[in-house]
This record gives sequence, structure tokens and C-alpha cells, in this order.
Amino acid sequence: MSLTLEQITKNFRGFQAVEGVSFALERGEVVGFLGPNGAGKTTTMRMIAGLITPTSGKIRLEGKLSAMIEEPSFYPYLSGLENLKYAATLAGIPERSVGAALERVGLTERQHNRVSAYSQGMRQRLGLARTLMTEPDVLLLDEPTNGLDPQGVADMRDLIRDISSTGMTVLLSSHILAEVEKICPRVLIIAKGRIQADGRVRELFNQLGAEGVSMNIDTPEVDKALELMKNQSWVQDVFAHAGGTVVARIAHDDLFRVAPLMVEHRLPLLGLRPDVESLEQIYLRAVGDKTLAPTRADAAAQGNTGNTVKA
Amino acid sequence: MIFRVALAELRKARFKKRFWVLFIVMGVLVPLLQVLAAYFITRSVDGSSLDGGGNVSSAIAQNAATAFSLTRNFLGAALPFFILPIAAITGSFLIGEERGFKMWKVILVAQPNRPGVLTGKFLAGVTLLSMLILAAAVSSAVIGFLANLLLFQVPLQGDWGTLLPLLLLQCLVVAAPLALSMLLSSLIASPAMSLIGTVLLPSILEGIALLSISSQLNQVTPLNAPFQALKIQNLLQEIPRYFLTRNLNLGTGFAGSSASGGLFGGGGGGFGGGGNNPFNNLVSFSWSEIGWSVMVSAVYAAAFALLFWLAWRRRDVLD
Repeated sequence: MSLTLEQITKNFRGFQAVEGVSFALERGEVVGFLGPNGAGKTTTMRMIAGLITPTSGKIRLEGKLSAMIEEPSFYPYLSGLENLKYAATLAGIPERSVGAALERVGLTERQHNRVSAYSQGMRQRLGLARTLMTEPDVLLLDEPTNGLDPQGVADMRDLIRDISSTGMTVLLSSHILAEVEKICPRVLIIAKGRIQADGRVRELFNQLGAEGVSMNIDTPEVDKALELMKNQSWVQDVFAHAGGTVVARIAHDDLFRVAPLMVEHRLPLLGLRPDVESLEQIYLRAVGDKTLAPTRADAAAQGNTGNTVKA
Repeated sequence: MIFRVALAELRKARFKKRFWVLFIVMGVLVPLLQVLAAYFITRSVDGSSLDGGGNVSSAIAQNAATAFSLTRNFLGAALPFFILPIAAITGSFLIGEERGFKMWKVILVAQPNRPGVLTGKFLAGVTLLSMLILAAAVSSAVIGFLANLLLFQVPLQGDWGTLLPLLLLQCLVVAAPLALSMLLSSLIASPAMSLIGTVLLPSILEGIALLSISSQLNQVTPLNAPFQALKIQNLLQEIPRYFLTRNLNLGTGFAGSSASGGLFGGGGGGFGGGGNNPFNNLVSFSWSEIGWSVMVSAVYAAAFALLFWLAWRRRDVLD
């Protein structure tokens, strides 16, 4: 394991920010770290980075760690180049690494400009360059796409994909779930300071996803189709959309029945479209009822690691 | 680690305008103002009955417009005004600024050797202040040399062999106010308040301490015991020798030291204009007093550094 957290707890003067968080990242894994504001993501990342001392628990790290926690910070009166040189001197790495890091994030041309003149996207890229410069084994990225425009988000996503292909272990926190879904095969979901779900995205769909699929049936005979579907025992729920679509909730195993049924009753079928559930829906389901205080049962189950779900 | 941090901080300081401004004020403006004043005074007394056959104007030039005199005046007379502010500014640059720019999370990330980082910053601060003082002293010497060459042409006098060790020791003594400034910058979120605190707090606390001690002693002093009163008076005069501000500057004269042959005094230990120099005792010192000041400053530096370290020992970086 590259990084292992065992029962990490942080108490800020009576406020329990993180409670019994345990997980392990394998070498080369890219893991999404999701949770609402105040869930304990940043506190957990700061503890891993050594910026905050845990109240209890153990953090085991193998190899070198680098982190970009929240918005990257720089000395505004220094240029991008000088900021990286400063970090390189602190880390004891040769200054030639600075040029390579700047090139990697596409900031070579603006390296002599003061950071105060950089856009948000440039600052994010410079922050990433600084974290990559040390060639870490484990990389913590806390909201790296914050404040970026769509192109910036796409660029950052490509950069993170590049990084992950080098075998680096990455823990990525983000509010943009679609991005996490694209980059991270595995996600951790935290709420109220506790891990609520931990597993591969596909597995979480199976565990936390709704039963069945919402099938959109496009037909000009909406009323007849609606009536027909209502009479089928294998249809869990059905309603009609204005504009000629019947939406039927059907179990995965019964999906094949829809088209033959329509044909059998001579109802014109223009299209069949299943609603694909997104990570966002899974996430909302995992954290949705965690606005209340955690129960004792939650606390008892917290010690488990691996592909677990606490719904 | 310590030297890496110190090197990174010193490199960063090059880009900080405030240090260049401080150098210009201490090393250029202050000596230039002295040269200007000396020039106008010598011009006004030159050839007049006040001049005493050229002795007075020559003495003025020797004490306010030569390489030696300007360096000596910087060290003995100007530096006391600057030493606390420059230490406060340096401490703010090294510690307070990191909080303002949210740089602690960059500097201390995955950093197992936090004491090493803090020690490196302290070392950088002492080096930076020493460089500033040395640069200002060298600049004063250069300006004095040029001024004498171009304007006065008086014979050069002065014992550099005594002044240089004094200058180097002065660079060590700045460690105490620097440690205080770093401590206050760690404890106080506002950079302005930590700057003001470093400059004013020692004097205020020392004043309060002296006042309270003297008022307590006055209450217990029997009015009919003049010997006791004299003893207490001597005690009250001794107490400031333990104060931080009193021991910060090695070039200033200490009470009574001029009588035992000061830096520019007429006695055997002095150097300067000699017995007829009207500027005798302008700045005076003795090596025993300097040793005492270095020792007291070192104790303060160690105490502040310990408190600074304790403040950071298990500190969470939340900025």
C-alpha cells in the first residue's frame, strides 16, 4: 500500500471534524475523494500532508508525498519561475527540474511574469507544476479544478490523466463529480467526518444505485403505451412525459421485454433510451441522509475498509 | 534542511523591496545627511573666529564626514533607532508573511523536520539582518571616503581594528529582537500588530517593570535612612542593564563608561580626534559592557527562540 489511514480522528476544541476515517490506497491508484462542504475532506488531506496532527489514529505513507491543498498559494511578488525555484531549493531538488515542470503545465512562456498577474487557471497549473516537480509517489489534489473555466477543467483533467499514467498514486478531491467519474476508477465518499462509501465506481453503482433502470419509450401513442405498461407486473413504476415519451422503471432483467411488447400490441416505437445513472446520483444517495448526526451503528461500522458502503 | 531553508529565504529576500528601502535609508540617506550637515557647518565656521585656526572645522569633518566616522556614527548613533524596526520587518517577512500568503501549507507540507524549517528561517533572518547592517556600514564608509576626498580632505583617523569586531558582534545581537519578532508574528495574526508589538512591547514592559519596582521600593524605604535610599537608587540604576532594549546596541555608551576611556574619549583606550576633540564622548563604550550586552542578548534570544519553538511544536496549519 502507498498510503494507509487507520482510524484517523481530528477534534478541534470539541468539534469532531473527522472521526475514525480508514482507507488504503494502492500504488498507482487514482482515487476520487468526494463529500459536501465541511465533510472533512480537506482536514483529512491536511492530516495526510502533515499540516494537521491527528487527535488519534495512524497514517502510514510509503514514498514521497506532495500536495496541492485547496487554492494553490504563491508569493505574489515573485515570478512563477522564482516561486518554483524557491520550492525547489526548499525540497533540495535541482533547479533544472523547474524548467521541466513549467513545460509540463504549459507555463514556460509566462514563467518570468509575476504570479500576481496570473489568471486562476495559470495559478492552478503552476500549483500542479510545483507538486509534480518533486516527483512524488503519492499526490494529494484538493479541488484542483476550482475556479477554472470549462477549457481549464478539461486541460486539468488531461494533466491528471497524464500523471496517473506514470504510476503515481493520486487522491483527488473535487466537487465536479463528472470529472471525478472520468478520471478516478475508485471513489471515497465522506460526510460528517466519516467515510460513507469506498469502492470502484461500477461497484458503487451496483450497491448504491437505484433498483432497475428508467427506460424512455418514445411513441406517438402515449396514452395507449402508458396503459399497456401499467398493466405489466414487471414494470415497477410508469409515467408519461409531455412530448411523447413514456418513462417506465424496469428491473435490469426485464429490459428485453419492452420492445416485443410494443410490437405485439402494434404500437409504433420511435426509440428506446435508458437513463444512465451518474456518479452524482450515487453521491447524493450516499451523503443525502448524512445531514443528521451519525448513529452508533455507523460508528461501529466505520472501522471497515475496502469496498464498503454505509448508507 | 536548515541551510536549504535559509538559502531559499535569502534568495526570496532579494525580491522584497522593503529590504532595499531599508538599506537606502540606513546606508545612503543617513550618511549623506551627516555629510551635508558637516559641509554646511564647516562652510559657515571656516575662516571665522570660531574656527580656532581650522581646528573646529577639521574636527567636524573628522567626526561626521570620513569613512571611519560615518561607519562609527552609523553603528553607534543611527543603528539604535533602526535595530528594532528592521528586526520586526524581517520577522514579519519570515513568519507573518507566510500566514498572509497562505504559504505555510506549501512550506510545511509532508515536512517531517518542522524545527529544521523554523531554525532555517531564523538563520536566514540573522544573516539577512547582518547583511543589511554590514551593507549599510560599508556604504557609510564609502560615502565618507568620497565625501572626505571631494569636500574636506582632512587627515584620516580612527581604529578600524576595534570598530570591525564591534560591527560583527552587533550582527549577533540582532538575534534577540529577531526571535521576538518571529515569536510575535507567530502568535499575532495581524502583521501590523506584530510589527508594532516588536518595536514597542519591550520598552513598554521594561518601563512598567521599572516603575512598579521603584514604586514598591519607595514604599519600603525608611525616610530617615539615606544609606538605604542610596542603595536602592543604585539598584534601580542597575536594573535596566538586564533589559533587552538597553543591550541591543553595542555602540551606544553605557552609564559611566566614558569616564573609563570611551571609544572616542580622550583616554588611552579611545580613538578619534584626541584631547581637543569637541565630539569626545559622543559615542562611548567598553569591552566589558559589550560582553555583558552580548550575554544578555543571547539569553533573551534563547528565551524567545524557545517560546517560538513551543508555539510551533504541535501547531496545526489551517490557513
